[in-house]
Amino acid sequence: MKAFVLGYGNVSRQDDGAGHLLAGLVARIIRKSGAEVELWRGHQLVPEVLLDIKGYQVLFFCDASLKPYPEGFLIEKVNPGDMKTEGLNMHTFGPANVLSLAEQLTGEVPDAWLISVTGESFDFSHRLTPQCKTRIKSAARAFRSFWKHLSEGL
Amino acid sequence: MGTVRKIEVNPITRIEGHGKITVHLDENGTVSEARFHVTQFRGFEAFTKGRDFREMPEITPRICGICPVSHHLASAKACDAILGVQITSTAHKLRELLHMGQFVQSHALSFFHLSSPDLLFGFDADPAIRNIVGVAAKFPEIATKGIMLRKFGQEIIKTLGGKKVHPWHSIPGGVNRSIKESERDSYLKEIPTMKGYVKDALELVKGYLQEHKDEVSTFAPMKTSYMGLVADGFLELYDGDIRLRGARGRIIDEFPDWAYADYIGEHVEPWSYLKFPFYRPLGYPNGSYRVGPLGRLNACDDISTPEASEELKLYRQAGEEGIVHDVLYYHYARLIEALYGVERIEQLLEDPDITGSDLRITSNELYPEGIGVIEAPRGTLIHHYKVDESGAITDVNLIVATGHNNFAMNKGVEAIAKAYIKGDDVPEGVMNRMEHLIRCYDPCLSCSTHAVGKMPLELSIVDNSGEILRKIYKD
Repeated sequence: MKAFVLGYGNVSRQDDGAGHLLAGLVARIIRKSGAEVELWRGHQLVPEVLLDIKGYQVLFFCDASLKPYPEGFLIEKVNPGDMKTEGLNMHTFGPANVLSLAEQLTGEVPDAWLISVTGESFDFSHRLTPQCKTRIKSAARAFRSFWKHLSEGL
Repeated sequence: MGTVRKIEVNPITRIEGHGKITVHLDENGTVSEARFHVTQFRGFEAFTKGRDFREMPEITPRICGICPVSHHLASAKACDAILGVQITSTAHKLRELLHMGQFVQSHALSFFHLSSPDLLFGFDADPAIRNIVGVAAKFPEIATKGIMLRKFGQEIIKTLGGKKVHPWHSIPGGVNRSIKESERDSYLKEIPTMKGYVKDALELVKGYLQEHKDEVSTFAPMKTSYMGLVADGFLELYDGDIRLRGARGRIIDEFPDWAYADYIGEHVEPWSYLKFPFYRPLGYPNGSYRVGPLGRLNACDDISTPEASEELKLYRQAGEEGIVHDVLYYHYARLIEALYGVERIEQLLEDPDITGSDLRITSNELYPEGIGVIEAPRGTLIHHYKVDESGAITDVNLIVATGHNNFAMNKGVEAIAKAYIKGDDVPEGVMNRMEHLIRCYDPCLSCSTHAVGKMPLELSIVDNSGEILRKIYKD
């Protein structure tokens, strides 16, 4: 199985860059399981990323969120139809938009999940807050179990 | 006191960063005034004080995630001036190559991803389809070309700068990396395809402008002066003199970039963090002008690459005495510049110097100030630093491209509001015309935090006592 992990956010704005760290952890978990994995990190999701994901069966998007999730993170399935089109700009170009574009332009829609981690502060700094780091570790632990079940089922 | 109601459009969609439009109505429901606010404050000029000037080419690109290369290069040029060096020919060409990669990707983003949905579907189309995903569904070939063209520019940036966003390539006195022959050859192979993509987009925009002549001529009509860099009269994006051309085509002034402060002043309004630059001898607002693709193509005499030069001749047929004023022509001008960018990339890659190894000039000099001016995709970008004897920054002045167009954006928004808004009934098509007017200028209000950037669209109608009469949300 080939997995593609995308971590994005602005690493100069504290917890906005949480996706970068989380994506590395997620990719490591997948790689250790023996599956093939590719890691992509970026400032924000962009349309041309669909050229990179071609041929992969499963995608994991790792991002920071403003939402206060009870566990500090959320793993959710993403479908092309979930996309929000009103107010769409490059900032709001999300995982569902990537899938929708892929569906329209390549005819391929991989299975995809979004792992969101609640950010604590988005000020100017390269350092994640301790709270966000803790949530990232929790998300990675949860992903380990999630991946085990998912890869066994695939 | 006639103003009794206020309409706010906040934030504007499909603009990099966030802005807010306020429309003031009088007691008859007629628009009396409209303002385009920039309510974000970046603070780079303040918090870089005390830092070593050599850090600035790495710090200042953080202002923006869409055109970081422009800040990177303007900053490096300012640092060169502090060191008192002229960089090598190879370093100059490599910087310009990086810059052209930036122009191509940024112009592709602006046209294909942000503006083409309005042109392809119309201003009154359902917002649910009027976006890049909608374009992909109905016009997959156009969407694919936009993606491939942007990727081409991004890959050049990544090759030279190590990464697509916030690259690190230019250093005070030169650059830190050349281009390998294998990399050069691989990009050269793609040139014909990329030219074809831009030319297809040119046909699309020319068709639109031809079919919508009435809308084009009545869409926020405005005649202004225009500013841009030129070298021997030719369009120049990396290193030239600043030229100002009047609305009737006369060259008002042309001065070296390091003398900008003698010619360009900055007006401040209390309701916006974005200043209003103006040409000092004419004062504010008479000295206001426009920059960016429309400004540059009006300011220059010609373009040095053959195919873009030919296209410029066709473009100027739409103008009065060769000067094109209609704001929707920004898209056409932008694509001519994209064609120039691809041609210039070809020229630079074919130059034997480009794979050279003479990359950096060292210097023990330390001049008290340095100025770096380049053309960013959105317009003229000025970095001005002052340093103490240890090289620590004591003062920074940044005039960003979006600022130069601030006056024009405000007047344009007001023109649209006056043309379409009567009372507090604001249909989506009208709101989108106002947004599209801003998008023509492709402003970058900075995109530092994409998570925070996910804000809903909110429209408020408020009376003069502060009571909210109506609120409309768009998720």
